[in-house]
Amino acid sequence: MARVLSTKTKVKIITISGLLTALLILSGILIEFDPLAFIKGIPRGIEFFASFLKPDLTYFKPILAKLIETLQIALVGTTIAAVISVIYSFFASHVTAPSRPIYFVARTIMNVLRTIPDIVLAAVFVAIFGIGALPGVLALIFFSFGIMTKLMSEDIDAVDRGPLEAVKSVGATRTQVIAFAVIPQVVPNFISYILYTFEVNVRVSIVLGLVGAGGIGQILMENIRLFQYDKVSMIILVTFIAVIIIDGFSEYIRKRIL
Amino acid sequence: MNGWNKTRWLIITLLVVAVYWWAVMGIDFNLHRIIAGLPKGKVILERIFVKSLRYIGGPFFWEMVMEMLKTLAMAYFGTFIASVLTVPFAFLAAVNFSPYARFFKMFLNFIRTFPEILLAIIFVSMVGPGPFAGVLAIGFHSVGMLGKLYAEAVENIDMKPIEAITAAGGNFWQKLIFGVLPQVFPYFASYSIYRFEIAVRSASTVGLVGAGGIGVPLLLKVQGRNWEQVGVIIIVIIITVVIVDYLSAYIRKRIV
Repeated sequence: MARVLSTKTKVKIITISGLLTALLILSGILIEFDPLAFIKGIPRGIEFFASFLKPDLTYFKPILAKLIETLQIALVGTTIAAVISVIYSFFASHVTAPSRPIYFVARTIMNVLRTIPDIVLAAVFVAIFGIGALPGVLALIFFSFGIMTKLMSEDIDAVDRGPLEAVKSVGATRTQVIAFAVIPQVVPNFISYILYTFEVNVRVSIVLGLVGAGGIGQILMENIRLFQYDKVSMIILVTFIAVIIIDGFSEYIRKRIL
Repeated sequence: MNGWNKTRWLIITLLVVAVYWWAVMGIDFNLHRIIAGLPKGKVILERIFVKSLRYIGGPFFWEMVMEMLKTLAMAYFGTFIASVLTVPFAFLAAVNFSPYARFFKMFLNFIRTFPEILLAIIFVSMVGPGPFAGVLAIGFHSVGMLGKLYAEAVENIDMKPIEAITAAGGNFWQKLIFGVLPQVFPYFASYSIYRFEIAVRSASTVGLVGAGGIGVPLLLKVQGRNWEQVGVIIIVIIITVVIVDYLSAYIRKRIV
């Protein structure tokens, strides 16, 4: 290998790997990396996974009710966000925005919203509207708005300009250009993004429940606080199965539509 | 459209309407409650985004910057370890290298199905509360995601350099080091950096179940309704995420 690489490349490789290793050691110290704790925890981990084999089946009913709530939150949140995002992304793409300043403002709002963690949004909405599914839905709307507008506006940015110019050359207005030249190009991807966001949102709405925003996360948090690990594992098991089913369903719709 | 098609569309439309009706009823979507919450919302948002600015630069702010550095350390450590552990999985799950690709792809899918926060709960019960549990959760989940992306990179390589090495009499390891790795390494690095971006966001939230990082003080301050301090934490997270995203995009553009 020594004869293959030039000295300059070698120096570069050594510097980068040295830097990465130094960062690894530093972060290892900061996170209190302790392989002993992991080894000592293995029996407890086995115990935990063993509890999956004898789940508290009597607990199924309350889980199902909350799981349904989680799905409802994800469905309503994703749909409202999808409607808003589809309209909004036309303002946040340089191809379709009515003017430069509007484009700039639209993108800034979108980028700032994207950085706020979902859980923070949920916590704030819980404080404002009280515990329940409503703050969960509102948090999801903001959160999925961030994901979808980014994907969608970038998609509009990348449309084929040919049809646009053709429609424009026969005297179409801006709305007509969007309706007849842009939308037909982006619809398949938009549907795919909405389904993807729905999948993400099912997972996210589990997390939202941890701060009181309704759904399965709420009973998950209650049982963690009470150290009821047999119930916790039952919740995880049911959630896990539900997530697999939903992903499969979403995949099926995607294949049928696209 | 023939009769059968019309009936089918009608059934689908009715089904969709019914599902939404059911969902909206279930979540108690109540406009009165939203309107009633607005004045309270204004006060809270003001405390989070305006009054919190006074604390920027104070002792609490620096404490949170330190917590954020720890959170970044969690994301880095988890992503780094996962990136190394994923390399063998990438080859095992690539159809052009492994006869058992389907099996390993399923295994990686299985790992990815676990939401990180659930993994964090499991690891907290194993190793106790603290950042180490969070790192394990992030690392475990990263293997699932990186494994898929790495394997796709391996599947897309150009086989000609490898044939050339074979023709010149190179052995398995020489083919791997000189034929495969130079092709896939930029992609591996790029995906890991991208994964680090996501890990920073996850590391900020796993603290809610006791797995360390800035999520721990965040949950405490939210529960205590200390909105000014919640604001400080949010601002620290937002600034960090923006910087990390920017750096990541810059580095990734230079690599690939």
